[in-house]
Parts: sequence; C-alpha cells; structure tokens
Amino acid sequence: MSVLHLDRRPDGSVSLFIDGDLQFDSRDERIYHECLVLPALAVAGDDGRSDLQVLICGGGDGLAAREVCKSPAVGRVDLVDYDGQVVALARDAWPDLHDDVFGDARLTVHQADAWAFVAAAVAAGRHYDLIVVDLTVPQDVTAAAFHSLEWYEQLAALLGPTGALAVNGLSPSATPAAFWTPYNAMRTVGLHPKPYRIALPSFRDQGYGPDWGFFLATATPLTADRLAGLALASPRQALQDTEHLRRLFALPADGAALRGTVAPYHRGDDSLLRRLGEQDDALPTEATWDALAAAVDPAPLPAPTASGLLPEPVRAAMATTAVDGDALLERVLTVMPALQPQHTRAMIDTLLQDPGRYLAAIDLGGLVERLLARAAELPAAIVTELRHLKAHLRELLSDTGALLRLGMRVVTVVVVVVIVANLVFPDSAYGKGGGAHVGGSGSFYRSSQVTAGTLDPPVVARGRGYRQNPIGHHRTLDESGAVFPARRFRFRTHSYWGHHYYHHHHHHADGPVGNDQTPAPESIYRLSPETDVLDDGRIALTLTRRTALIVDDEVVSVVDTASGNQVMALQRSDNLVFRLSQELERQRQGLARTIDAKLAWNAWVSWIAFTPWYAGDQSELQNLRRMQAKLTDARNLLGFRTGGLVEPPPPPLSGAHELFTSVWLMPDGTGIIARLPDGTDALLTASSWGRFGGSLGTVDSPYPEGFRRAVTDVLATMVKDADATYRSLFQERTEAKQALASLQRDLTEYNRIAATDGSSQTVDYGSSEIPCHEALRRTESDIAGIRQQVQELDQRLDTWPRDVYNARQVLLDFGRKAGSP
Amino acid sequence: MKPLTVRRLPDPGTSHPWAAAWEHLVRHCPESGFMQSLAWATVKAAQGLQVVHLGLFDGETLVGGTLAYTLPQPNGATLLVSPEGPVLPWSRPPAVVAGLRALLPALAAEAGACGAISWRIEPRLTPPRPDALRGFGRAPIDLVPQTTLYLDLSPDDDALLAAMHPKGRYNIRLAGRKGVTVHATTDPAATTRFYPLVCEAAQRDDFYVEPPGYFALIAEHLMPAGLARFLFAEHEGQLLATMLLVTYGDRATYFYGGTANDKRPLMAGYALQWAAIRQARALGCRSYDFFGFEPHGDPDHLYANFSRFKRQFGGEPARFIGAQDHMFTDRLADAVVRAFQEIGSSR
Repeated sequence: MSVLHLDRRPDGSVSLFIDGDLQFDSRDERIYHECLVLPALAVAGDDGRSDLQVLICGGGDGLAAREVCKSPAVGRVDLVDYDGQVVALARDAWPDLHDDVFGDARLTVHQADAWAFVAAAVAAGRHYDLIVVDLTVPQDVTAAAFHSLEWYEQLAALLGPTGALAVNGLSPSATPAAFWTPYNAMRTVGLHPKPYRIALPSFRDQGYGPDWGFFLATATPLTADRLAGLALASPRQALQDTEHLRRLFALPADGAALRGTVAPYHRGDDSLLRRLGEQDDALPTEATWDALAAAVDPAPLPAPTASGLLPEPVRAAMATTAVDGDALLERVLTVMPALQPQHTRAMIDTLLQDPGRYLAAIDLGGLVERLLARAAELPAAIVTELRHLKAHLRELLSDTGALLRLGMRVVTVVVVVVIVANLVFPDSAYGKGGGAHVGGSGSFYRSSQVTAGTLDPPVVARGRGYRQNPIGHHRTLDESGAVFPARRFRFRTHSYWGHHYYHHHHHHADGPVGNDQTPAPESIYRLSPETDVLDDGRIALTLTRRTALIVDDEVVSVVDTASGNQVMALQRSDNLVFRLSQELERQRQGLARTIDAKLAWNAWVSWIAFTPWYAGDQSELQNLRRMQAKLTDARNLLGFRTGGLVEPPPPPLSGAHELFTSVWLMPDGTGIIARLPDGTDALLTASSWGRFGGSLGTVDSPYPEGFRRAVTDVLATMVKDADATYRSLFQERTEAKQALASLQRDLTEYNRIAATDGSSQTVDYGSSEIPCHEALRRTESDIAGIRQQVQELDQRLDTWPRDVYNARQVLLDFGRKAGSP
Repeated sequence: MKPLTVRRLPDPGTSHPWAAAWEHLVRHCPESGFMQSLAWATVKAAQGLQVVHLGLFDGETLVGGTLAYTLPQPNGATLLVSPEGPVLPWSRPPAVVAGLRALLPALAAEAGACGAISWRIEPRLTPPRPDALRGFGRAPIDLVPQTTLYLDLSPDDDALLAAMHPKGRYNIRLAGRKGVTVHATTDPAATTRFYPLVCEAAQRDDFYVEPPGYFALIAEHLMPAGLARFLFAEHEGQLLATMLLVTYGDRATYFYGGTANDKRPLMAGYALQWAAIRQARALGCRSYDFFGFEPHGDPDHLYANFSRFKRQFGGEPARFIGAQDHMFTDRLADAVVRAFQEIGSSR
C-alpha cells in the first residue's frame, strides 16, 4: 500500500504523488509518455506486423497505456501494477487524461508484482513485441532489482528477436553513474540499448535532475537510418516527428564516458542505490555524445559487480600499494561512496569524522585472537601486524587515535568494515550533519585566523532560491541557492561617511537615531553563516544579537543594531579585506558557473524544442546575473585585492586575544584595545579611554559608552558560550569518572576472585558469564580506554583558555561601571 | 530465577496473539518509545528493512523483548538496531541481566543470518550506564538524540505558560493575536503539504530531511491508528509552520517540523508548539519530548540552533547513555577476513 496524493490546481491541471514522489504532472506528462512509449512502439510495429502483444510494467496511471493504444497494430496489452489503488484512482480521477483507456478491450490490468508476472510469463514461454517498463526511481534494494541483470535477462527472453523494450531511466545529468548502470545491464544480456533524454519541467522542479532519460532496447541494433524511417503513432502533442526524436539521442559526453566503467549488478545488490547517491556536481557541458553514432556501442563493457562487503572504490584504494600507513585510512575515507541514496557528501564526511569512534565498542583483544586463529586465510603481512598488535595491545588500546596513526592495514580494514556496516543502515542519516549546505570559508570575525592558501572550488547553485522571483524582498540567498530570511541592519549612514569618519565619529556615537537614518539595509546574499552582503554592497558581520560590524570602503563600523548607532570606527585590516575579497570572488565565480550551466541548459532545452522556454528560466538567469553584479559591487566597494596571502595584523601587545577584527582583549584582562582607522591603538577600560602603545596620551574623543556596551555584549556572549562548552565537558568528565570508578571496582573484584578461586573461574560480566581472566582482560582494556578519555578531558578543562578569565574580568569591571551586579 | 526463553514473534504487520501484550509492554516501559511499536516496525518493513521481533517469555507470559531492524548483507557487514529498545524492566537490574542473557544468543544467531557485526540498543536510560551493559560499548552513531528536553504535561495551561521563558509565552500570545491558527490532520495525503515546508526549513537551518517517501510511510502506518498527525500553522491561508507529532504511550514526540521563511515576525512556530503541547495532553500523553536538545547552550553543538527555540517552552533537559553496541566479535572477524579476500582479489 502506498500513499497517493492527487494535487488539483485551479487551472485544472493535476499531479499525482505516490509516497511523496511525483508520478506525473498533467502539464507535461505528454512529453514523458509520448517519448517513453512511441519510439519503441514504432520499432515494434516497424515491419508492418499487427496484433502486437504489449506488456506494461507499472504505469497504473493509464498514461503509458494511452500511448500504446494509439496504434491500431496493437492486439493485446497486459498492464501489471502491484498497486490497485493507482489503477482505481486513474479510472475515476483522470479519465480525460488517459482517454478512458481502461475501457479499451485490448487492455487487461493485472494487479501483481511485475517481477513475479514476468517470471511466470518467461516460464510459460510467452513473448511480447513491446515491453514498456514505467517503474519509479528505486529507493531500496527490492526496487533496484528492476535494473538488475536478472531483470533484463528475463525481459530479453520475453522480447524475442524482433521486440522492442522501452525503459524509464534516470537523469543522465544529475546521476550519470546511476543512469548508465541499467544501460550496461542491458548490454550484458545481449540487448542493444539506445539512450535518449528529454527536459521535463515538473521533474526538474521536484529536484529529479535537469533532464530525464529513457532507453530503447532491441535485440538487433537500432540505427539512425531505421529511426528516421519510423512511423510514430498519432495523435501527438509533444513529439513532433522522427527528426525531432533524433535530437533526443544526444547525451552529455562526460556522463556517457562512464558507460565504460559502471558495472551492472545482480539482483539484491545495492550498487544502483549507491550511485544514485553520487549527485554529479560537475558542470553540464555542451559536449554531447550521439547514442546513434554507432549501431553497436564500442565502449568496453565492465564485468558485473561482485556483490561484496567493501564498496568498489574502497576496495580499489585498499588494493593499491601506492599509499600506506595512516595515509591509507585517510585515502579510503575520502573515496568512501554513499551507501544510501539519501546520503550526501556532507553527511558522509560528518559520519566519517573522528574514525577512532568506530573502534570504541570493539573488543580488540578478542578480535585479534580470532583473526590470528584464522591466520591461514589472511595475507602474511597482516598476520605479522596482528602479532605485533597482540604484543602491544595493552599500551595501544588506551588511545584509538594513536592506534589509527600507526597505520596498520589490519586496523584500517577493521575500521572500514565497521564504517561500512554503519553506513549501510539507512537510519544512520540521523547522525546527520546538514544536508544542503556547502563549505564556505569560515568566519570573518577575526583577522588573526590563518588565511587558507587554497579555497574550496566555486560551486554551481543547485538550490531553488534563484528561481524565486525576484532577488531581495526580505530574502537572502547563498552560493548553493539556499534561501534565508533577510537580516536587517539598522544603522545610521552618516553624512560624513567617508573621509572624516574618525575625527567626527563620536559626534553621533550615542543618542537617538535621527532623521539622517535611511531605511535599514537588508542582507541580500549570505557569504558565510555570519557574513552578509547588503543590498547597498556593504558587508555586515553579525557578532551578537545586537552588535554587528559593517565593513565599509574605509572603515569597519561597530554598530549597535538595536539603536542603529555606529558606536566605533575601526581600522579595516588588510587581512580582513583580502579574505573577504577572496571569498567574494570565489562565490562570484560560482555564480558565473551557474550562469554558464543555465545558459547551456536553456540552449539544450530550446534545441530539443518541447516547451518553447521554461517559464522560470528567464527570471532565474536574470536573478543570477543581478546577484553576480551585487557581488561585483561589493567587491569593488571593498577594493578588490589580488596577490598572495596578507599577513594578519600584529596584535598591539603580545598575548592579546583578538576579540574581533581590530579589537583585542588585554592579556591581563585589564581592558580592551581598539585599532582606530588611523592605525593608532586605543585602550578602553571601565573608566578610561586613551591612546595605547608607546607613550600614553589621550584620544581626541570622549569616553565611548556605546562601544563599551557593544564590547560588553560580545564578551558576555563569549563567556556564555565558553561556559556552556565547559559545563558540557565537565558533565562528560563526571560521567567518564563514574564509569571508571565502577570498572575499577569490578577489576578489584575480579582480581580477588582470580586470587582465591583461580582465573579460570566463571564470573558475571555484564549480562554474560565468562572466565575470570577474560573478564580481567576486557575490564583492563575498558579502563585503559576510559582513563585516556578522562585524561583528555582533564587536559581540556584544566587548560581552559586564559582569555575567558580575562573576558570575565573585563565584564566585571565594565559591569561595575554600568552599575549592574 | 527461572531462565527466560526467547521466541521469534510473527511479522509485526500481521495480527498475532502477542501483539496486544507487546504494545502494552512498550507503552509502559518509560525507557522505550514508539520506535519499538508494531506500527513503527511496519514503517521500517515498508522502508525495505528486515524486522526481527524477539519476545522474552517467562513461561507463557511475554515479559519483554525487542524489535530489531536490519538491512541484511549476507556477503557484507550490517547492523541489528533496536532504537528505544530493548524493552526490559530497566529498574530491576537482575531482571535486565536475565533478559539480556536470553536475548543475546538469539540476536547472535540472527546476526549470523543477516551479516550483522553488532546489535545496537538505545534505551532511554540516564547515566551512569547500568552494569548489565558491561558487554556493550558506546556506539559511533546515535539514532535517537542523546540529549533531549521533556515537558511535563500534567500542569494546566496557565501553569505551563507560567513556567515558560517569558519570551516563549509572549510569542505564543503574539502569534494568537496576529491571527495565526493551527489545525491538525491524520490524513496521510497531507504529507505533500508538510514536506515542502520542512525542506524549506532544512535548507535554511542546515539539517537533513529524509526523502518524501519516508514521511509518506510514517503517515500511512501511524496516522490511521492515531499515533501520528501533522499540525499546520497558518495565517490568512498561508502555511507558515508544520510538524509531525507522534503520540505513543505516555509520550508525545515532536518528531519533525519546520517553519517558513515568510512572515517570521508572526511567530507561527510558537503557536504550533503550543497547539501540539495541548493536543498531546488532550490525547492522554504525560510528557512532550522535543526530540533533541542541547542543555548547556554550547554554540558549536549540532542542536544549538533548535535548542535556543525549544528552551523558550520550559521543560527539563534529559540526557541518555546514548546508543550502545554489543559487537559480535566472531561476525566481525568473518567480515574482516572477507574484506581482506576482496582486497586480495582486486590486486
């Protein structure tokens, strides 16, 4: 049973969803169904045969059957769908759409599993002239069987030498490795599949990929000449003629190259699901491969995957001897593919962080013993490693990180096996670490952060943000096309914004916002989680709920976003400008790539000419271009810097902690140092504001009360966050110590038993009974692990950053000044 | 103590003589939850997982057991997973030992058949970990959040509101004043309304959302039995916030949800939670689980964002021992040997 949902729109159009997946949208379903069915139908009836025997697998909506029944040559149609609800709904809910096909005497509906039906038909020696496989994208191993070698073997047997097979595929652009997998399965069983593709706005809207592919397979290869002579059944609304059809056989060349490498698989294998997880982030190129260029595809045909434990890339990485030591594990983790269709790269990366935790529950000593007992089945080098491991287990057990760093192959394999078992289980997604977002280049708060020598490559925006019309309007977009509510940055734009910022900035430092305030600028683009590009091209960094930094063309303003006041003007460090520029440029290039990809796609869509132009494409392109221009403006306003890395600015005093750009905490917690636009440093304490460094002097401005409040706000957040982390670690340590004490009690007890009754005595260990020596060994091993954990936590808690104490000290001082407790 | 016996119970999707007794046990086991219910097992089965239902018997009386889920990998490596399980009388340690002692060999046998290298359990036990779990180790991945927030539903509305953070109370009232309305439905077809909004929130707040079919299956198997419902918060016909609320036994779980990017000042998310809290109580639940909470305010925690919001509703943070793995070392050794053979044959 599935959940069906029929979405009826005011314009009379309908969409059917099964289990949340779009099946068809009446606005463009004719493109899909005419293209799926009519070419193969024409091939099947090509030699003038009549009384064609047709099998439709799936297609309970009746729409593929409608296409089949257009041909008077069709004698009988068997439609097999396991879901009776769909057929029942189709009869009642959209008779106009399928032209009452269920009333066609040639059609027989079988409510059955397609696999069982096909197997029975093969066993009965039946033949079909045309088979249409209209099944949905597989989500599990059972459904993936409908692209396995066994499935196509059976279909080939049913087809006979002159039949034609039409198969609903996947997106050749979005998931090329998955798309070419059934292609090779069909080739392996002796069919000659010809892939072709269409553009389907409704599928694209659902995120199924920019294009959608099918296969037309025959026992004797289909040639371009034969295609040109086909008589397509009518009437048709989407597919114009064979010349039009011919265009569809151009596929992205990069993806097509994969057909030489993606192995077909046997029933029960999950290779296809894994490949569905490999979303292609490469750019769509205009280079295409003509599927009809050669009658027989000369591309090499990979052998079927041996269904096994290790994913193919992992097996290959492990088999090479080029990488060894701890680099091997790193390499293997890098190539670990998605083992579930829903696993994104970001999620896999998160799941693979800290690989030592995959060893935590293992009784390594017990495992080593068992593996040594099977030494004959293992390579000699591995046995040597195991012996070494056994000899040094006691010291190695306490630190899984160190154990991994030793780089033993056997440890690497154990970790990988445990990881694979975990990734195979679908709900491991709960160990989630975000699905949608791309890396970005971190925080821009501080200038002392080491500038990354290399940046992430620019990305193509896949999110739908740019398709929503138009940009701005209280929405912020990022490089991936994700949408966020806009942040509003209320602040005065002073008439002196420019050259006189410093000498006069204090004139407006406090007090109510006057009439010179322009409407609060909004964020339009999110450069990083806390960094926004505003619609006027300036850059805003959100420090706390009420404090932000506005990076202008000459200064960095500290702004109290509650009052809208600029409370201090700071020096713009070259390092900050450089890093912001670099990131802006990277993301601008990403948008440029997205625009290129968009143009290529639009060109292809108009070339294949189903829909004159997808309605949203124009505005999407316009949005992308506008945003690109906004980033260019921001970069220009910032003053674009090129060249090598820019060193972080030197701190005013050794040991000073950078709170945010151009502001430091004194190393003794006595105050705050701000680097002013003219490059001089000023010291802020609870009661004074004066020049800092070299000779003490006065600053030509009164005590900056607003700045003190802003700094207090930032310090309070810093202390609060640090306290939270401390409490969390403290709790962890308390629990670890409790566990350690409990284990030590057990150890004492086991030692006592061993001393009095001998170490072979059976003892309780958790819920099982094991020999005392075994209980001792395992308890010692657990103690070693937990002791290590406690030591690490001790270390972290005992060396709590000095800055936090200093920040607390300054807060106390400032608080006293403000008269708060 | 007489040893307990283990029997494999029939397919959870079928009606069988032990079904009612099992449900009764799960509903009354505070360390367990809906993921050990038969309805949830049918969701997992429909998702393509194999369900292993082991009943623990004292004579002819069903006294505990577990629903374990696995994706069999006869030539590979997989897990047997019992989220919110096993169902045992956790407050009585000797009974727990007896229960595990009976269950472990049965699970080891299952592991051999499906290729599982470990049995992962996840009872809602607060630390320290009971000694009975000595043979288990901390699992690398949790399926149920290790830290959460429980709201006791026994006080009346006024008392609940009074115990909230003032901002939470204010926002609930604000949303009401601004005309945000909330309605609930147990119609599985509403998945298509629910899903896009959750995706919008996921993109903004960077969390992972399962594919639509996952929610469709939950709706199909839990909603007809009244175990789950969608709540929708709307303003002038515009959908602003949604959630999937699961109610089972004494506990209601805010399982999934999301708010729109539009009209955020209307605080629809607050109205939605408040309606869910009241609905949960009306349905007989005694506690409301916010399903994932970071209690200390640690800004780097995965739940940091959601926790700021959830904190506004009051409640008591809860912390569990987290997922625990019992490794089947023989099966792991098998898998390691097989892996070396695969690597060898790739050379």
